[in-house]
Amino acid sequence: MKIRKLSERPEKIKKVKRVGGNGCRALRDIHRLKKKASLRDARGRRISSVFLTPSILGVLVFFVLPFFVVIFYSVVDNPISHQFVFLDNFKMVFQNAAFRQAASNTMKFSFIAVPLAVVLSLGLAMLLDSKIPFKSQFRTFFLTPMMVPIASIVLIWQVLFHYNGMVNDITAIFGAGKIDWLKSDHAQVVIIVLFLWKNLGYNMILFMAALSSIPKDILEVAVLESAKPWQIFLYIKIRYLSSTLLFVTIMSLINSFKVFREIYLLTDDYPYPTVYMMQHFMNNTFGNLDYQRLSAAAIMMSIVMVVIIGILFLAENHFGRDVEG
Amino acid sequence: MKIGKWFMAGMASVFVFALAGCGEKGQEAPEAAKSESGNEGGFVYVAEYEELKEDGYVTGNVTISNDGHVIFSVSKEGGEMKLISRNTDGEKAEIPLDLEENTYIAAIGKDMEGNFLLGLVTYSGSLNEPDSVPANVMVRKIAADGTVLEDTDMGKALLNVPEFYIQDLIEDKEGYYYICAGQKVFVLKPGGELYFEVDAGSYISNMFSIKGEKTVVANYGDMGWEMREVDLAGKALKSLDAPVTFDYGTYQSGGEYADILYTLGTKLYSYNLGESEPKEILNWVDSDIDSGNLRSFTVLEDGRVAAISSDWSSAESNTELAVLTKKDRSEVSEKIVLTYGTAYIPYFVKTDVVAFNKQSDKYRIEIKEYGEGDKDYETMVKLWTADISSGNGPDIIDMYYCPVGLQELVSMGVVEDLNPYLEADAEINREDYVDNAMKAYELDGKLYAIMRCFGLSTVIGKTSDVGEGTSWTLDDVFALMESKGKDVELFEYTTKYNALQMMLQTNGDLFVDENGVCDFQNEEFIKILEFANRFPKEVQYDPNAPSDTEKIRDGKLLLLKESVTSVQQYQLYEAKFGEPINMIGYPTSGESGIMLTPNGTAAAMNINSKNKEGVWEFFKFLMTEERQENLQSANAGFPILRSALEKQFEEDMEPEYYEDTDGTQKEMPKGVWTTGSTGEVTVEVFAATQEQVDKIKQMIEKAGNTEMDSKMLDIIMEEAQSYFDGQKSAEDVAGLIQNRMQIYISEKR
Repeated sequence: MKIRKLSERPEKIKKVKRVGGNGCRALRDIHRLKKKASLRDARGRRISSVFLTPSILGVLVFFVLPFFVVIFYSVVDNPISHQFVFLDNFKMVFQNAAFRQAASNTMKFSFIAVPLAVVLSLGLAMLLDSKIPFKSQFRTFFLTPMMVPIASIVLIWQVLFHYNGMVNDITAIFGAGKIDWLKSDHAQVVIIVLFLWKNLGYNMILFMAALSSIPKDILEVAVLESAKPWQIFLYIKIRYLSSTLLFVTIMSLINSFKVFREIYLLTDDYPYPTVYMMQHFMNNTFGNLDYQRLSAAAIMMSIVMVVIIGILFLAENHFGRDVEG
Repeated sequence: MKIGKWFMAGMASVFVFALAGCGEKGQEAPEAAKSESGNEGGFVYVAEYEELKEDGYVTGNVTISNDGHVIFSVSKEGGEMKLISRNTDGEKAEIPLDLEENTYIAAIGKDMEGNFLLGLVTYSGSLNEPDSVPANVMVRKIAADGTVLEDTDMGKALLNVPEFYIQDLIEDKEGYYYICAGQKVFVLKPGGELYFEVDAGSYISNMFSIKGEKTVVANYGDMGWEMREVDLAGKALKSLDAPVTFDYGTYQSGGEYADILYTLGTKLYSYNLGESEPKEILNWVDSDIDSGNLRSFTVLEDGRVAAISSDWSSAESNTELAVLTKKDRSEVSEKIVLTYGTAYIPYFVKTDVVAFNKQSDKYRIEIKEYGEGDKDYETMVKLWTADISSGNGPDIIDMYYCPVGLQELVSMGVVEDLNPYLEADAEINREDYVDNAMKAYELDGKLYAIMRCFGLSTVIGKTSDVGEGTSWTLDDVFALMESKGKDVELFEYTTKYNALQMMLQTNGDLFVDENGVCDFQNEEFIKILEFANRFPKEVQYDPNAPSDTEKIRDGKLLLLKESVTSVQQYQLYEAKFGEPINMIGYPTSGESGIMLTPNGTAAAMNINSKNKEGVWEFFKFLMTEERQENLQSANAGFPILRSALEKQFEEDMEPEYYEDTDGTQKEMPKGVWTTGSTGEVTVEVFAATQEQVDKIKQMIEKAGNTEMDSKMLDIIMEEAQSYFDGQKSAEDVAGLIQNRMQIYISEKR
């Protein structure tokens, strides 16, 4: 049997291809193009990998690695002796009355404040999207809280809601007794109002941008087809706003956890029980150098966050699937 | 694929490096030890000690010349004085003085030519006679060999100064004399004529000369520590022109070596005017010298450092000359270094560490002060926390100034249980120690720290007022207050907040049960709030007001809150009250309102220490009979060793006698206590009675260790303010406290 040299093969292939006529040439061109594209893609991937590496390294070192450290701390008895205790810290944290109180308060706050923040900001955006006078002034008015530093916000709120504050002075005019707004069951209401005041403007701008991007022809067709305003809102606007709704909800949820900053500045590290949040628990355990419980609480909270955000994504996929490309 | 592999390898390296950063200190230890010693380039100052033993007590200031020549005065029983010179070869000789009768060497100074100056005060009678007053003041200049060079009479200039005495003495280049007395400096012309006097505003701690050109006084004034030079032209004090911030310390002339030589904390520094910062020379503790005992120090011509120290607190108060030679670490026998970490150095820790280092051949302790320098409290706590939580903490953790409570230390897992060490040690038997003192740092049956000696924090009142019981309640206090007039104070200079804090410190545990359920809404807590509210919101110290003793004796003050650390102190209070007293403790509905608190070194062992045996050696050293029986002074606290405590009680009851001029034996006071801002009440304490000792014993048996943590106190104080301001009722405030406190307590469990 004669064994062909490998160097002879291309000639043979060329000959075969020549015999194939126009159709084969087209196939060959496509193949060549694909090969070129594949080479270009590989080169592009290499270049983008080089550019992405610093960012990925940063994320790994400053986010992923600390997260593993947190996991490590959550399964040891303390940061000094490092005795493996598996889930004992989680059990301890879960059974802790203060943790339960903090988790309950945080959930309650988020369940009330986040929907309110989304609905009210959407309402305001719709209002400002319609033809009303002083639109620009209203927009500025709602955006003002974003520009005020946190220390000033706390100061304003203290002046308003302190036991000797302005709100009590005003209610006293009508003969009402003094209320200790920040150290009573009213505290959570005050914090919700503060949260809405601070966040409505930003959410509203996001919704206004999303509303302006809804195709006008679809809305006009709906009007021509005699669709009622609520039908336009429900079946067109909401669907087009679904991704913005998801974004605003997630941002509001994150911000609802961040409200700790304001509460802490207003009421210190051990506030009235109704405004004692998850971050209080974590901040205080950190202050007490109880890193193992802090880590366990942080992991439990992140799991809950992942589940909530996952549900939100599923909801967004479900409601917005027919308007996205 | 290749890129993927490289990427993975890179990531693995990053992880390895990152994890390595969290690793053990290992190789760093020798470096850390070096920097701790405060000596550059791996050098240490090795000390050679010599006791300046003479027949009598070394009195006044001791002067060392640049070549190591030492001059000091010794006072014998009966007031006789002699001047001793120790030359550079170590030979001692008495310098004949030919002093007039009743003449006392008040101070020894130096001039710029290497001669010594003696400040001599002649009294009208014997020094022991209370009516004896200065009759003449003279400065005698002598050469190093004792030859008298000059006598300058200063009587005319200084005898009219009330209660005159000489504290320090200097002669400058131009022959002007500077005499420091209390808070004044007298400047005299070369002939002894008064040039001017200047008042520093407060007691002058140090006066020294900078190369004979400037005379500087150092004192703690209204603006903190002040260094001012005597302005001859302006006849006043003016600020010393130096960019360095000086702090409370011991300042001396640097002689030829530097402008200023000073000890701050445990370190010796030198400073030259015009320089931006001082130079650290050494750490006294590294040379086994307690900087709190230093009388004089200097850098000799050959670079060695000479220091004179007296163990003020010991019964014999031995005076030692230490000559420190700079040596390479490799020349010095290696000892295992242990670190004693503390926020601030308690004065007794230096003594204990130095004593341990001197007697241990294997270990030496170096003190790490986290609050050293100008660090604020927050920074200090951060440093301390970072070290402790990263596992790089000191071997020995100071509990006296510990920034966190024992509970936190235990939950962090930082402190070692000492029970196994105690059980394994054949020489130490737990039963030999005062049980309450051992329980002070016990948690869930584990012993986490040891204290060397303790005091008793209590409330003292006349038995006729407080009764003879061992504890009392707030109702009893209210009844006492009702029975007295409105102008009668319960406690002196006590605000609402002081009163509340005082009550919470002793009663804090009554409101929280073992399951972590708190009850601050009960009647007892509301009573505490009401009790505190009876005190003024602010108090202002009145320097012209009668002393507490006068108030007590006039019936205008009922109680004193004090920390009792000796039987003598108990006797002092009996004398102050002028009738039988009862140290009944703070009002409480619990068993006892008396608290046992550490009064000396109190420390824990770091669980991460590489030298736990060494740490235990130190604890054992503190607990040994020898150390326990030598608590240095009658008022240093009660030893925790029962036998040492009994011995101390026996000594307290042992009368001491002296023979008066006609040969009669008379009982001698064991101590003389002076109280009151102007020292108007002087009490002589004689041998204690069995009854007095029994009362102390009873208090020790009863004393508890309750202490409310600072956060709980903060919450209560914060909420109580609105009650004290009259804005909320005690019940409302108690409700708020209950809510916040429950969160706090639950969180900590």
